[in-house]
Amino acid sequence: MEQVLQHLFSGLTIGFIYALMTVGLAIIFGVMEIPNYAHGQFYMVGAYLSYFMVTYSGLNFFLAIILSAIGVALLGLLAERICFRPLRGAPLVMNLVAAVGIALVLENVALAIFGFDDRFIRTYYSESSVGILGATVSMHRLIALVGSVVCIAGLFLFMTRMKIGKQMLAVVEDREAASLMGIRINQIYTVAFMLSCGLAAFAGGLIGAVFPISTAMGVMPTLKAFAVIVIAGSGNIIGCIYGGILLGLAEVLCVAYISPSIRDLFAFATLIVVLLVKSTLPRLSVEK
Amino acid sequence: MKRSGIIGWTVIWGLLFTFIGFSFTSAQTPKSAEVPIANVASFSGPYAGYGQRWNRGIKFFLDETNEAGGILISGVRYKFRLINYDDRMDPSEGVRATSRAIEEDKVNYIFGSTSYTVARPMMDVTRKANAMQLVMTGTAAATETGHPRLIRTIANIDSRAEPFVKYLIKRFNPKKVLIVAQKYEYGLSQEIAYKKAFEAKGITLLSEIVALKETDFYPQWGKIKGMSDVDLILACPPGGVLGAFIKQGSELGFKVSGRPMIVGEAAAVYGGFADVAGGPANIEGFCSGDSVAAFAMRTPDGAKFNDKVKKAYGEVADSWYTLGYIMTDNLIEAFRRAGTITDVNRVRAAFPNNHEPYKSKLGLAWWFNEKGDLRGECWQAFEFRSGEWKALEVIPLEQ
Repeated sequence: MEQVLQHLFSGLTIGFIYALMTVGLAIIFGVMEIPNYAHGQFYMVGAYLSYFMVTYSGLNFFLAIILSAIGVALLGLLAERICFRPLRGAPLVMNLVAAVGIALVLENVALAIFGFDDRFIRTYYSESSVGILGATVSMHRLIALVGSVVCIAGLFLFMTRMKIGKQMLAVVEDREAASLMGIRINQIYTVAFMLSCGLAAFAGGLIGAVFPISTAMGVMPTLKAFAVIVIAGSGNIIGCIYGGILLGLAEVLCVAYISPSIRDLFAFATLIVVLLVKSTLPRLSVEK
Repeated sequence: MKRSGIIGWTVIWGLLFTFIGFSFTSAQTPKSAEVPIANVASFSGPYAGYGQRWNRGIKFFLDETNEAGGILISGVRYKFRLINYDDRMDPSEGVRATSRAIEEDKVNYIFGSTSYTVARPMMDVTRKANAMQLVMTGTAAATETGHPRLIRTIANIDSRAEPFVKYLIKRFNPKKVLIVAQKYEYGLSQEIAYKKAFEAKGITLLSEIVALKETDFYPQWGKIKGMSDVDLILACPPGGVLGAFIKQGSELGFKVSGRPMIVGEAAAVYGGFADVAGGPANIEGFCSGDSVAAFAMRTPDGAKFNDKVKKAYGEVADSWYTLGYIMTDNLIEAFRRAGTITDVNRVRAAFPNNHEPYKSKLGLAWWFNEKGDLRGECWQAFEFRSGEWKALEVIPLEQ
């Protein structure tokens, strides 16, 4: 039983991080229709920034991940203005190429600054673990789990309670209608891109204290996030959150009880089956 | 003589002297040529650190050779140009880069790759094109290709497993061992080779195969918790990944000061291991093979090389730097011995062998067997306690 709980905690931690990644990507995809391939690199930059602030500036870990999320959101603003805004209305492939370009630039700049060795955010409680119902969970995993749950809850409130969040949902549902209703699309695009990059960086900061940080760390989570979006539906933010959590859980349980060799196969098969069966998931939608 | 006649003769004699002078000079100055050498390695992606460091080692040696005027073979002075290709640890990218190097850049000598997963399919291309491939990753008999112009800088895993197992038995006397290997060709070869070597000594080997890019080892540790009779864990993932494995074990209460002991296999000393595993994790009884750098550092030239690397890149010359450097040294020596650069088969035949080993500039004597596997290499065991590495003993490999 303890072991099952152990794996459940582990799966939930990874799952919520996937959910944060997926929801950020889904926002850009839903609002701007840009397959932001550089999403994982924003996640990586967030992890490195947090690492830098904690290791070299001695900043508090929580403050560091919040500041890195703000920093990366500003970086996102820059990317949106310089790369994506001029491509507005251009074919999808142009946006994809721009995203790949940003990804390469970010990865190589990180490589030049931080080198090739894996890094790790170390705090004074890095080695501490807590016992929960007999399961042992490291302090940083717990922080990652709680941090991502709080962030997703905050995002939920932002999307459903704040005007700009509701406008964003309206754009996801029908861009043209939203524009006719007087919603400033350009402003929504900018906010969506910044929000998405900030979420990725926040996830990166949280995970940088759990797993090694490397320049390639964002590639796999991005691919998985894309897969979840495809399965859940690009505008289905709640579906993406469920999908991310489910994917993390399925991966960990498969490695623990079936075989690591079929981890991805099992995880995605479970995801497809569950989302197909549970097609009645509530959707975040704008109030009419 | 008429004035015009004098001028005419002067011009004729002048031209004659000039011609003789030129002929004399050209007889004294050898012709020069530039040899392209390719390096297909991971310059980005998870193995970027290895690729970049290996590349720097090669470049250091080629730059030194070029600065010294290149090498003189049959009246031609050859200098070398290194062309880099990033394979991003992707086998198909490695194959594409190799084909490009051979067909477009007319390269006959190709270093690559940092990962056996990429190096293996590259072998089919280099064999077909009659090129020489210098592989910098460990290899396994299970995936032999019979490539006649293959040179490998890390001893074949099968030749390493037996002596390393002997050492582990002497040091830890385990009864049941668990191997944690990554799921790719080389990792699986490690599993096969160690299984054979342990079972030959009557020791049971359990295995836990993890995905190549896996960094979450809680599920594995959950299972290990249930394996109460395992008294030694042989962990094969490299660098930071191994660090994460050990750190997560320590988070879950495996202090590793008693049993099971954790032993790392190769490439653990660098690559972010210490940063990720962390000093406070207090991993005891951890040792790893990482011989080349440690050996080279003991020679005066090795120490100089280390200083040079430190000055240029601010880090210690690990085994990737030294392997790259020494391997290039051996290749250039093979050119000298063969007396040719264009005849690739003669160059391969001229590589240092057991009858005629070669002591490289860093002081290590290397030779290669008929399959192209490096011999004369040793492993150095290390221990990691309280954040510090300590060298233990040298493990000689079967020759």
